[in-house]
Amino acid sequence: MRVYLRPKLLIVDEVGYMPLDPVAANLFFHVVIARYERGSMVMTSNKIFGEWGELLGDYVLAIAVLDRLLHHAHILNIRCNSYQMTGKLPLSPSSDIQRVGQF
Amino acid sequence: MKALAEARALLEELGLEQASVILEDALQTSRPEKRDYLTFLLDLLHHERVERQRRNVEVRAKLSHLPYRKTLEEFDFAFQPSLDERIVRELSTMNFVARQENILLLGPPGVGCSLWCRSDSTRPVGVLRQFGTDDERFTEGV
Repeated sequence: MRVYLRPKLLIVDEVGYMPLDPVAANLFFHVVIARYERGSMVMTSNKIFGEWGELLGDYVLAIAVLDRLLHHAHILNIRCNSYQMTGKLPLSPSSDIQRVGQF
Repeated sequence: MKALAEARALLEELGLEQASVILEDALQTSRPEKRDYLTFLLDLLHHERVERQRRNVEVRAKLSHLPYRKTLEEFDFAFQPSLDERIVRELSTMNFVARQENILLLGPPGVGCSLWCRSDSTRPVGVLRQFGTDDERFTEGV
């Protein structure tokens, strides 16, 4: 676990291509919780936040993860012209780029 | 010339290899320009530092095991109008790391999420980098 806590910046690429099994989801949750307000994370995902429940296999877990992740976060939404972000959670309104939670 | 050789050997011994390499050139350029001692010394030290940083970045890039190296300068912002170049540049200053903030890059496959992410990580930041497949990330060392 220390491996994931020590770096000032942890980059997790391509979150969402492979669904996580319960153990992996659990570990992912612990990494996010442990790094919350202690170390930065950069994540890329093809999944909108509404689909993270499915991704982690647990909606409550997903909400807890997103809650920590998005508290102090910059969200960059990259969209193709043909791609429409539909069914997004109110966590991320449909503006192209938005800053969330700069408290 | 003996003094020069000795100076170079001393610089090398003290770990200032780049300074040792450019010492002769630096002396030659500083003579006609009549630079003062302090300017000369500063020039030499600056060279050493620049070269050291460059090598540092090189080593870190290797250690990161990133599959390829891309820079933000290569990123075509015109191709991806939904991405605000200003914000991306601001983030690339890495100030967000000091504030413990996160970045989430969302997008369908093939729009450059990972590209941006990896280009970001090849910037010279003083952090440990881990790169691997999802499986490695979740099983290794946890």
